[in-house]
Amino acid sequence: MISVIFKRLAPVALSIMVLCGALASADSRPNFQENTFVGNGGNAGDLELQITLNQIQATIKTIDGSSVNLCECPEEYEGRAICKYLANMNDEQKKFCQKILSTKSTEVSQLIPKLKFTWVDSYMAVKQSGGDRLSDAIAQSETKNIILNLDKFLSLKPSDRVFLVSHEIFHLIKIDGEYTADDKAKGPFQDGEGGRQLLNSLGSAIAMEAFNQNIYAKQMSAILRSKNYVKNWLSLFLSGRSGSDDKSTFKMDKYTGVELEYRRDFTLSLGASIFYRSVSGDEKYFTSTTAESTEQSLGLVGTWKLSPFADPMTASGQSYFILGIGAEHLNGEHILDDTFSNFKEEDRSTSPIIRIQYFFPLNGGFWISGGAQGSWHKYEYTENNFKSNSNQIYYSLGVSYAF
Amino acid sequence: MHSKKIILISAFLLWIFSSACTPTLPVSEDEHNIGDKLANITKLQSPDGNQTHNVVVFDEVVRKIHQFDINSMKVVRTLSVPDAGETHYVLYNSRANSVIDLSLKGVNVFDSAGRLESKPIQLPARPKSAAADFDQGFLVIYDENSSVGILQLDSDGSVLKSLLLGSLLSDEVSIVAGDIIPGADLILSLSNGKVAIVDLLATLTNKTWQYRLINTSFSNISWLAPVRGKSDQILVKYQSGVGLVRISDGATLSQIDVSSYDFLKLSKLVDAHVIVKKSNQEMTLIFTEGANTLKTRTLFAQNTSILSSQLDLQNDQWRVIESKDRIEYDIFSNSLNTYRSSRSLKRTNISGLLSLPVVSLPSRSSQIILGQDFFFALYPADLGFAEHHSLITGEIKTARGFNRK
Repeated sequence: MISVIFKRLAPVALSIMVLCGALASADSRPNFQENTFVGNGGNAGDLELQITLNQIQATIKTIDGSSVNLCECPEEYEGRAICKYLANMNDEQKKFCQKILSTKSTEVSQLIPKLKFTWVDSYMAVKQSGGDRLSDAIAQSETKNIILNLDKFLSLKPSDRVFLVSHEIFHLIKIDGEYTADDKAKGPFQDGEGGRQLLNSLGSAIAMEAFNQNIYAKQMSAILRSKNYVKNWLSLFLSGRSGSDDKSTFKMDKYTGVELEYRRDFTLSLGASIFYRSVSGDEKYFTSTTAESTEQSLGLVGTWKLSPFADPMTASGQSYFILGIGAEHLNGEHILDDTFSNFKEEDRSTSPIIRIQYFFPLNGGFWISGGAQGSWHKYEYTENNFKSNSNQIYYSLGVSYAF
Repeated sequence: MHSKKIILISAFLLWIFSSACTPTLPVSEDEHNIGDKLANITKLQSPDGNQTHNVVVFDEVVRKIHQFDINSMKVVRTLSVPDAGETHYVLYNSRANSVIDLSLKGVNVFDSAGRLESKPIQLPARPKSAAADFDQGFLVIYDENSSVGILQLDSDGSVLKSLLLGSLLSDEVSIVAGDIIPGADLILSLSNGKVAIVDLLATLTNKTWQYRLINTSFSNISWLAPVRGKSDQILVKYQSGVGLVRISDGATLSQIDVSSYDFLKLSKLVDAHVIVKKSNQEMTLIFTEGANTLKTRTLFAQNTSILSSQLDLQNDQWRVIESKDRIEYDIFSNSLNTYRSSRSLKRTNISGLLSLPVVSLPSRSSQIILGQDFFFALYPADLGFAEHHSLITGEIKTARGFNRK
């Protein structure tokens, strides 16, 4: 029965999805020069980048002239990747690194809010003296714009993100009166790629200092928290409605059951979902009569996402509402049994529906979600003397997983 | 001292013997009625023996009256009664297709369209029996305080006149029992041993008993019944026996003394008859075939409890509803729905006392009524369940779910 219904509704579903796709002028993933980080956490990577900048800022602010152990690799981290660049410095290079961090910390802290970032979905080719080189990031000193490969950035650990962005930031800070290029010597870093070695050391030093200052732990909740820009949503709800308004001697006091929903977000705002719901109720009447009623529904909904809370670094900031308009097909069944006879009737109905849902983030892609739906089904079991109310409100509460 | 003992012993023995010589017969709910004891399911035979195709029953579960068409096993109509929580009895006026509902709270008449005429008469106590001649348009209702309600009905079953009277006909003379002779008058046995022939129309007009008396040779007639096809005869139970009386002059046409017997049943279905027993092993049927004499049939080794008896002389059949259970309470009344467990139907032809195979009747506390060649059972189902069992073919027709609305 459900497969038959699905076959009939599939063309409608496809139409809705095509329409939503047409309305979406762009994927939520950025194209070159098209998706710019604005710090609201709406795009993929925006929140992660904001966290990284906060971590860099917090670390920089702890650095002053009295800071010790800058640009050094503590014994317990020896051999770790984060120490690779720090361990390779000689004493002179280490002192130079320490001097840069101490003297430029204020300038870096003032520069960070003025930076612009651009996401791209591919590696970038950088022209250097030795030829083109593929890079995960590029800093443009004239525009103070840093271009980042989104996929690469999202795949990095927090400390590696701090390293990467810090490296690029220091491209935009004049050292010894000029910007630092990757393929030119700088200070005691005299190799052909001395500039890169210096910037890598500075990046590693900040990443290491963030460890020392326990900066990562303070931002961990925001890092681990589920993000609302993800496209695919799978939800499992406990669902139910009141049956007390139905017109029948043999009505149900309430219906309870489950609902399974899949939603695809085509843009940050628009999407579509398909759901299946099965609820049932049972009551006892007179001396020995049992009444059971079941509703199975299949629905298609066009959705609009609304995020009313500003700060994406908070749980409420990641939470959002979904408003949906669509249609639902319902198959109903009603059974009466008084131990002498058993009477079973079926009916079906199709109705427009409106839905409102709220999603609240947990960690690891999981969410708590719930909502309500209004529908206007009219169905009847004439022999069993049952007539549905002209409208229904379903409530749901459950969990979602975004991927 | 010695003489006093002898006097005491002698007095005791005299009391014993005097008790044994005076015939005392048990009294049942079927005695001291006018007509038949009321029931919550109507009879399937009219007084002339014709079978109706409608049965009316008060559904004890949903507390409503259903009228079934036996042929199609469809519910013709369902009637909601006032004071549904009371004990209800039903009568069916087949001539007008009207239903009469009786309870402690009053009498209600539903016409053929289902319109309710509420309480055209209010009896002071619970109605217990009724006699009807719907062809003539008369219904007489008798209550537990011996009050008599008389109704005259029109062709639609509506009440034209009603009258409530006490059981005193004249000084020191009151009603003992009675019945309506179809097409004739109301016959009442009286406390002075006489029989009154009551003109119902004149009684309703004058609002007082209008009757003439006849003398019989019997005293204390506690039960009387019309004889089918003989409007001038009644079968009576008197103090120590059963008699056949001619109404016109009160002459005794036949009588059988049963003072050494115990009464088992007094039945007016379909032909009036009486069943007595001498011991648990011997049972005697007493009836008349209209030849101005009483006849008997005796069966031996009868170990069952008889719940109800029907005698159908026209079809040469004696139908007995019995139970193999040892029933402790008084089952003297001719009601097959008082005890609803382990019931079975035994049919015997009168001409040769040849029995047909015993038919088990439904249990599950069903209300049953027996027809000539079928029985109808209404089960105590919340949603409604009734069966029609053919005694000839064994076919079962059902009606289900009629209480869902």
